[in-house]
Amino acid sequence: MIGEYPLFDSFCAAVFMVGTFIFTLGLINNLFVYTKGSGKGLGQAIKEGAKVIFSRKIGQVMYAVFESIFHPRLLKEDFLRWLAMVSIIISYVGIILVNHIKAAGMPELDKISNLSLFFYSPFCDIYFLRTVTEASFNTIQAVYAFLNDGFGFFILVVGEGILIWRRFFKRAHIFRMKWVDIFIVVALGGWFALRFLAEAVTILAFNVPDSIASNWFVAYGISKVISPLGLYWPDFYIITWSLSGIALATLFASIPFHRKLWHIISAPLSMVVNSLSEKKHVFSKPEDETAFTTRQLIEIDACVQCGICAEHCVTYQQHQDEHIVPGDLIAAYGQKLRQKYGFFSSLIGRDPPAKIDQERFAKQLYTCTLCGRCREVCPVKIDTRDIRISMREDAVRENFAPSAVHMAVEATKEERNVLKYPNYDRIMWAEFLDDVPESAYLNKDKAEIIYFVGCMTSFSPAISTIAESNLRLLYLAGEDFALLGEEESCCGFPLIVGGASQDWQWLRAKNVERIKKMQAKKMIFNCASCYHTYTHEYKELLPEVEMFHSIEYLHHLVTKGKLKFKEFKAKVTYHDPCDLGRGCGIFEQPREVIKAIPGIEFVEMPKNRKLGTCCGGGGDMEMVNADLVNEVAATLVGEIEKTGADIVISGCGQCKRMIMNAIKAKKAKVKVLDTTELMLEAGIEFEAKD
Amino acid sequence: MAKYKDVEMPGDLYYFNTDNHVWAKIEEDNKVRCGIDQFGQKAAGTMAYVKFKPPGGKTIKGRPMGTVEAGKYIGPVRAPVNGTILEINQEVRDDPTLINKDSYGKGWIALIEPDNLEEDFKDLIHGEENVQAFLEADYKKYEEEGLFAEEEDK
Amino acid sequence: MIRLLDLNEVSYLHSQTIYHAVAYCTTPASPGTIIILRPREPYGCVGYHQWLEKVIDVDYCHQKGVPIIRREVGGGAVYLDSDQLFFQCIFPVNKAPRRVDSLYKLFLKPAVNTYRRLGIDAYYRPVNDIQVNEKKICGTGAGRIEDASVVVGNLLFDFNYGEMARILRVSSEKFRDKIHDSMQLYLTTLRRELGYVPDQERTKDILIKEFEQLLGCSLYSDDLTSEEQQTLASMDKKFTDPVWLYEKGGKKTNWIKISADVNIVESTHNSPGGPIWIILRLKGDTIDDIVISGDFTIQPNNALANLGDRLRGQPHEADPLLKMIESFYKDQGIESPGITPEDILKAIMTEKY
Repeated sequence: MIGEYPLFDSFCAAVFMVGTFIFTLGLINNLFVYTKGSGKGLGQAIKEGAKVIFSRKIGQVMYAVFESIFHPRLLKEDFLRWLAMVSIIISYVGIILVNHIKAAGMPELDKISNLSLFFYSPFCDIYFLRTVTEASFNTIQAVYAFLNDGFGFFILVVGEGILIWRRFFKRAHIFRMKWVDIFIVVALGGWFALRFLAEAVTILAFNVPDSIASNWFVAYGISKVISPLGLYWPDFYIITWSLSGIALATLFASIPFHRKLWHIISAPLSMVVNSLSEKKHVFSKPEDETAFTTRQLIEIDACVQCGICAEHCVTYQQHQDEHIVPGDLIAAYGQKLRQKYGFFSSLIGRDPPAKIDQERFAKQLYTCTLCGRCREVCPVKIDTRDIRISMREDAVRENFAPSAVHMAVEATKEERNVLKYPNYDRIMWAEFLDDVPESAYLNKDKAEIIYFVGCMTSFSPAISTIAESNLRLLYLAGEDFALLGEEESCCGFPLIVGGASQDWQWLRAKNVERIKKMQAKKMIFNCASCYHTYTHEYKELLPEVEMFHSIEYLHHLVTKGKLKFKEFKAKVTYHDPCDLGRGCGIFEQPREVIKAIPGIEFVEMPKNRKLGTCCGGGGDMEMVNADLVNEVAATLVGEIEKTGADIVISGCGQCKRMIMNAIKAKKAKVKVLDTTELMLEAGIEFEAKD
Repeated sequence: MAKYKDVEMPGDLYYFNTDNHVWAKIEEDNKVRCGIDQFGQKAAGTMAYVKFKPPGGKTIKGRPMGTVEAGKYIGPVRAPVNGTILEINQEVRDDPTLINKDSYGKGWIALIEPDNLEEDFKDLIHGEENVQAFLEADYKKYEEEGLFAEEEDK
Repeated sequence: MIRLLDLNEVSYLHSQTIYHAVAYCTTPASPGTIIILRPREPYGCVGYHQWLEKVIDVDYCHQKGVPIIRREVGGGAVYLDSDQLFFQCIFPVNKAPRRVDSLYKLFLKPAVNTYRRLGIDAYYRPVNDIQVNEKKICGTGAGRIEDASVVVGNLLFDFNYGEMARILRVSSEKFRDKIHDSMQLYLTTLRRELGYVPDQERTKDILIKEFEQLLGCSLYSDDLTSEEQQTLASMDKKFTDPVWLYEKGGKKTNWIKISADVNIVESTHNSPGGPIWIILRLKGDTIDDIVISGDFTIQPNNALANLGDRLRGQPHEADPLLKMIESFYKDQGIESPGITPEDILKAIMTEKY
């Protein structure tokens, strides 16, 4: 070590070591929470993770790492925010690398062990600028210096500059600002601002020649500005570097303690873990420690409250209530989980949240249609929909879910549907059909196709015509099909999304038993939510049964040339049902089917396909806030009206119901039809069945 | 007239002890006219859509002869007698809110030709005292358990 | 000639004590008596052999103001209120069938026929059930009290499933939920079957006529004799006496009967790897529903739920079940330190009904 400043020489490194120690404590605290996941335990997950690294999935992992650095989703959202993020990420990585490489090659730091070098390297310029001479300074050193200040510039001016402008001048943040937000902005760039100052002071204190100093171009510029002050620079040399050392240590130590810093670690981790996971919901059991899987616990930490979920949330749009969006709820849960399960925090112990807060919290949890649009836009690819369901499962487990959920469960126990409507009259709607004989679809011992109608379509007077048109279609097509009739039970969707994780399986068992008895090979659904539930949760029990939404079936008929249409002049648009579109990936078939009708002028909704707007009818939100549901539907109808279409087509009865109500309320001049209803209205002719 | 808070149930009508509270009246030629009473419409909310079995359809006492939909509520309208539907109120089909606004008058739902009027009516609640007791018991239960539909701006 | 005591609404206490009093006053020369009544207030009622504190959540009942009676007839705990119409048959021993099953079959016939007259496809299911579509639609009890054979039952117009589950003392809330579920599945009422609640007076008239038809003579209306009144007073005292109510029970079983052939139990079995906890519902000898869980490690994590699914519908017999559990372990690759298939089998077979 250079003898001149013995104490000071190690000060910054020492402070940084202390900061790292605190960081490690925080790290242990946070990681411990991840051991509380249900589903696969942490040990199992790590074992499986290790297997994957050496398999083909390595490509997915590498892409996930790429995404966590370059954030393609964020680029789509907002260029400036993306620029800020990527600048900060790349610059930090760059600075760390540059300084480490430089420090490793510095003779002044020769005597430091490799491990300790980590703590000295951020401050290597303390020593370097002190002893540099024209002789010893080469091109590589110039490059290091230039990169150092260049990266620093990007962090402060580009990255922080954009963030500060956005938060304090444009006021574009969704969530209310707290003191800690200001602390983070200051901490993130503050240490570097101090570092620039320190470099500048060093240049002045040791009279570093211009030809060398100019490579640290920012510091050089600053040194020229402050030089006229004529202060005793060696003193300030010690002060400024020490301050920057304390600032860096503070920043590093703070990382585990707030999600806006911790996400530096948790977000890439979450994105990699997600790239390896099955996209399947794991239902929590009463004996699980928490309602979340290990993966979800990591995801919860990855949220940085960027607010992009809110910007795309049609429910949020109505009243700007920040407490209903994932960014707020996930943060609240993260805090709750860490308080309860963090390694150190669990030792302190905390009181459970007060009852009144639980009730408010419960209402916010259920004020969501589970449309999944937030999931499409989250820059760190959190599966917000899946986590929401798990949070609701937590509410049910801890007994603070809204009473409507409990009532829905009770209703299914009595009548196997959430409306508590006498299930034996489930096919009362079919009594209105004169043109289809009962023997074609009822009281059959077996059938090739089962048409699963679903509760809403069966019982709701508003949309039972959808069941009629589907039935007619199957009959006219000459299919061997049957209804389950009064043996049809609710698919379980309202209970699943309500968080009643163990109360729906018996309904599935009843349906599966019946379907197997009928020896069906195919099933057709008219409801997007039933279709979503069957393809995601029933498939494992009915592996040999092919499942189709009625739109897929229509598409099949059209592409096989089995359907011919008469001309039908209308301007038509299509509303993507969330559970069918985003949920199951069915976007193009309905469009192709509609466009196959001659005379139709097809217009797209302004937001369509993956970014389509929700009708408001899903996610059990109707149970807790019917007014809000209507407002969301009204927003959708507004968008429909803007297209100028006469007719809007949907592939889900619940969507049709919501849109019908909103059209009535707004007195809009639009008609809404289910796809099968459009087919029949357009006048189809069937080719003879071969 | 039986009355409790904001619900009235005329004493000359017969009431069916079932979800949705159906009222029934014997008209000339022993035909039965029925609808949903004020308690039932308050419990369900503002009616938006309705669907009933068509004339000629058979009714089974206690089983649904139609469905009403009010906002988020979807519930059965149970037939008070075994018989055959003679007429369904077209006005209610066009404007379901008549069930809310004029439950016993323009909001009537079906006219039925009963198979066994006397026998079937034995299960219906009738008479001031009985009707009052019936109304109060159900009203209190619904209030306590929060089962009434939320008030909407009419 | 057979007596009819048509008592309309009586206090909860009298809904039990009156027939006891009549039974105690019965001699070989007494006419038979049919009592028909409804309790004014809801209450819980446990059987003769039951140890009240072990069966009922006494704190909850006190808090809610729900009284509890222990009767002198056997059977299980029930929650009764004015939505049920009680019929109580008291006959001298020599005038009634000897065997309990014949006793039930005879005296439940009027109730079965009454249900059928109301439009329900009810039938008698041995030993002591009336069922519709394999669901129980009545409560029954029978026994001997001194010189009288007694058969009691009720017609269920409606039933409070929630309170019934709530007043029971259970070892876990999960078990309470399961009991509630089981009742929803296997216990029904007139309201559920018909869609409406028939008029109680009319139903009572039908029931009385059915009794007359069964017994082959008309029933004459009567009041309690003075002797019976006196005995009633002492029965009232006895049944409100804590010494009687809280007397330690004899026969102990963990099984809870839902209907004639449906029973449910909760049990724990301590194995080397940790306690295994089972909730088992049997329908006859078949596993109708089973929940297996426990405080031990098992991989994969959802193995127990899947095993439960696999065992549903299987006979409750040791050997075939063991084979099933073993093959499940094999093809799912189950790892559970300290827990073997034998341990799980033991847990399932702990309580043999």
